Amino acid sequence: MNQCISEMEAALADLLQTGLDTGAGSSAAELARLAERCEACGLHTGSALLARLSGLLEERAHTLHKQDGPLLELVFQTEHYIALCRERWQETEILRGWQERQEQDTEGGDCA
Amino acid sequence: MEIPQTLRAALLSADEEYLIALCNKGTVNRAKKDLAAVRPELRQTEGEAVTVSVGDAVCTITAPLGSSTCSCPSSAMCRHRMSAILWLREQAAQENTAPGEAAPPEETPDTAEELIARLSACPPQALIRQLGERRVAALVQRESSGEGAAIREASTVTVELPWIPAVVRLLFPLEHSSCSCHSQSFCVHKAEALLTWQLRRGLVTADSLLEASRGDAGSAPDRREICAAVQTALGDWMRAGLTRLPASSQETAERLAGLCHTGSLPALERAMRRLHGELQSYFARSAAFRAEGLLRRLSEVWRLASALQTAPEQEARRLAGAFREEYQAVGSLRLYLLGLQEVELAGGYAGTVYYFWETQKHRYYAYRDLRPQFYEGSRQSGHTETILWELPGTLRQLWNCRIDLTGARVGGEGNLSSTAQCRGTLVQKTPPGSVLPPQAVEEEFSSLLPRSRPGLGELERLAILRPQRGEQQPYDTVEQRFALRLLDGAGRDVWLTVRFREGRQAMLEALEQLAGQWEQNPALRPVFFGALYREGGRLCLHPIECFTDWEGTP
Repeated sequence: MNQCISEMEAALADLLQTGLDTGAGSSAAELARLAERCEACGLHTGSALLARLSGLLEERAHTLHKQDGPLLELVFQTEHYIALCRERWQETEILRGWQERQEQDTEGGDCA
Repeated sequence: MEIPQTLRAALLSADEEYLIALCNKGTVNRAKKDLAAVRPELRQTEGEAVTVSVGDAVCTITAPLGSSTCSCPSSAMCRHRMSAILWLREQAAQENTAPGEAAPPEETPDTAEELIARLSACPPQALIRQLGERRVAALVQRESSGEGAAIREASTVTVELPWIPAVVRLLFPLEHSSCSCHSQSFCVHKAEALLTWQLRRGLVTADSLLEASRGDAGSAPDRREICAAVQTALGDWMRAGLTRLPASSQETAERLAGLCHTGSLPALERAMRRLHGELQSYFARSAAFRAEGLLRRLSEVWRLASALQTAPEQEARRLAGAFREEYQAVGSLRLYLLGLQEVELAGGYAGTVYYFWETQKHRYYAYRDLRPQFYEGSRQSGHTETILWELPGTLRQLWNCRIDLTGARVGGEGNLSSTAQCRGTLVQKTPPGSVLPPQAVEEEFSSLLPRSRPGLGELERLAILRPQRGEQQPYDTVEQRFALRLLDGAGRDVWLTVRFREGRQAMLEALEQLAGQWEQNPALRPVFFGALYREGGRLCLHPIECFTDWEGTP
């Protein structure tokens, strides 16, 4: 899941790097692919956000009069979602690390 | 080929300078190169517009040329549109010339004259309002000292503003003028360029500008207007992308922060200043800069501006925040100065933060001696520490001392006020172990996780740890980071990490020395005081103080 969150974050950072005016086309395909991965990872909201974002970017590429308000709103909403997911994942990961360490110590103790 | 009359006139009157002003020199040159490889095809003529396909893109070229559109993702004048315009201009010129005859004189309106008339007619009041009193005064000052903008007039008016830096190309119609900041709206640089031009032409005088700007100073901008301005800037940056972001975006961020301040939107001002800090870090090519971090700041500003724009009055007041904390009287406090650290915040403030433990309420308080760094764009040197609460010395001198306060005032987050009504009495220097109760010292780390949540205030994330053992990690030469893994009795770990930075050398050396001593003597059991945070899948501690003799003499 963390890999998926990182990829989502990297895709949005790429979009920021290239800008909507130049990178929107390639980003749309990448985000659509990521939306499927998110669904498989169980990140349903993330998948829905990315699918909508991909759709809007794709649409934008073929629109003469571009209205970027809803698209920007969605980009920043997705960024916020990633931040919340990351927070949750970190918590789980820290607890998992502690658990593993305790189990290792217990096993070590049992062997001794 | 039939080109509508209005479009033909616009094409014939557009010289190289005009085309560059519509976008930039690079795009015009690129379009010329493209034309050598791809021949545009005329698709249809509808009314005053002509549809031309250039490679995969379909462009609709119309008069004025700046209103032309393209099916490619670019929202600004792109190479496809420019190729189509250049090609159509070529066709129009050929049609105008009969075979074997010299070209007849162009019967097109004089664009330069039209532009001058349009620029002269632009009311200075609107420009003054957009610039504000301070900026107008600076403009007048620069003009009078002869260090003003460089202005060149032809079919367009090019104004160079080297102090920003920005290059503005004003053309007719005015809304298609371009600026090197990539803003598609009538940005502050365009306003400054136009007002400078009007002043240089004698259409306005320095005195009238200064007077008008002072008269306009009282009209505070509307909350929704400010939020819209902030979102417009963010939209421009997102469209341009980081790779094409002009250096003037830093100045724009700072100006918008100032605008938020004037409009009584302190929370948005702080968010804008943090964003400004991130942009500075990008343009300074700082190794610590991450595009993800900038995106987070942009998101924070955008969401707050959105909420402020749509919120009803009462909710908007809550979202706007407060400039200064409302300090409440809390009576007497029995404090113990546990530690202090020098900070430089992304929001543009720097100074010292002092951390206290309150022995009766068993909670942390802080006194923040912070000064803004954003005035004049440089760190203010020579800041002297003040003596607070009529104590016999500066707080730095009272480290690990007990201090009793009467008439204390505290902000909502636990920040102490320096109010003159508060009186302090120095009790004595005491070892921390004899002041702080054992339950304030964490020997078991399981309870630390909820206290490290992002979004919590700094004082809520403070913790005192007494680990069972420590494992020093090899110094990370790539990230320039010192790391010490602290473990409790059950093997739960907290990572003490410090990234090397100017002014942190002494701290890193002390930590390395401590880690060495601890390795030699596992019974040392040092105590660490710091702020918890999360990084990756790790729980981390940013150290503020380390104590090797907690119960003994500090």
